[in-house]
Amino acid sequence: MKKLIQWQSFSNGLWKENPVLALMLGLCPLLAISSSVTDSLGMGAAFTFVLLGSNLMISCLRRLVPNQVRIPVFIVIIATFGTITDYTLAAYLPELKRNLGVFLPLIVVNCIVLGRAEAFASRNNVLNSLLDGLGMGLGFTLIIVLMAVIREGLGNGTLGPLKLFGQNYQPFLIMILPPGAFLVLGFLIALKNSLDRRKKC
Amino acid sequence: MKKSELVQGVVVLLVITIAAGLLLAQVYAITLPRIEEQKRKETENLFREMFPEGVRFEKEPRAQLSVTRVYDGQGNHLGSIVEQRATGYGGLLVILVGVEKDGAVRKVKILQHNETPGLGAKVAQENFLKQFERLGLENLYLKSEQSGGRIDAISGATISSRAVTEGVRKALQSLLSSGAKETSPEKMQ
Repeated sequence: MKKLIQWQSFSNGLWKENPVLALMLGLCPLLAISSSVTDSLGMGAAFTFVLLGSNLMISCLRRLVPNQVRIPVFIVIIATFGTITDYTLAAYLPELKRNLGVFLPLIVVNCIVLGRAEAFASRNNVLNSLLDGLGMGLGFTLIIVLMAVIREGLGNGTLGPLKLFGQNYQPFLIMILPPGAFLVLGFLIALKNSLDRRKKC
Repeated sequence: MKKSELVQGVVVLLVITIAAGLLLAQVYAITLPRIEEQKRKETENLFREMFPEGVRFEKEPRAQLSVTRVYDGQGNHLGSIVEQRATGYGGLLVILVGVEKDGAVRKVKILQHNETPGLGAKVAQENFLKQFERLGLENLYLKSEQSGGRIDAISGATISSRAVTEGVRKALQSLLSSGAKETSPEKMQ
């Protein structure tokens, strides 16, 4: 019985309650960063790390923190992990840090992280919270990378260092521009909804 | 009961904040040397882009001005690079100005900026910056603001464009005026 619950807290984030497609959270970095596959992978990793760290700490401290100060405590913890990520990337992967730009420190105010802290980690045990953080983080990474594959592939004809099409490929430019992000996201949400509906029938 | 709850809340928040602060101080201390190293490398790469033929880059310690003199393999002076701070729309702008021996601008690069993405941030792009090449002091104004100005502002981002233009002019001005004083005896100290 207990095992089942744990698997669910992991798999929830991947599909059923996917932070992007179902909860519609964290769209800001998603729309902005998903024009490049490499940056998307980096963003997903940074994001998952912060989510794991904050879920872990908040779950550990959940009995000690009085209700009235829980939000400031969550924010302090999330900001700490966000800043650690920021410094570490600046020191070891400066290029990635430059490409992610303002969206790296903005993980701190990302609704997915605070949302999981409030809705899950502050009410569940450490193991489940870690699984939840991992699931949500991977769910976000999955979608942002998928979007980046579509956008960069069509809009630039590349996937990171890989050239997809021949010399004569005319890039589908709108895909790499901001409107492309909205288009792809809309189609992905529609796809998820129609798949879910079909499953129900 | 209410008072004790309040005290507990304050204490918990205080302890967590202090712990977070200490942890971040540690992380900062560990990563700082690497970050500085990366920044130095980045600056060096920009220097080499400005003066590909330069071999020796010598930083000159001057009070108000950060100047790097560039020499080639034979020790000939090729020009100088000035690091200039300016205030743009989003705060601090750090501009590198490469100056030829004859006092004209060679190349301008933006080392750091916080301008609005998609608008002011375009000042860091080559399209805008290449306008500065080969200009002298009297041309370093926005076209719309001064006759003789040769810089086209980016539409929608006049403040950022002006900040960069003025920064470059100031850098050139202070380099030229300090260069004149270079031979005076007080410079020896």
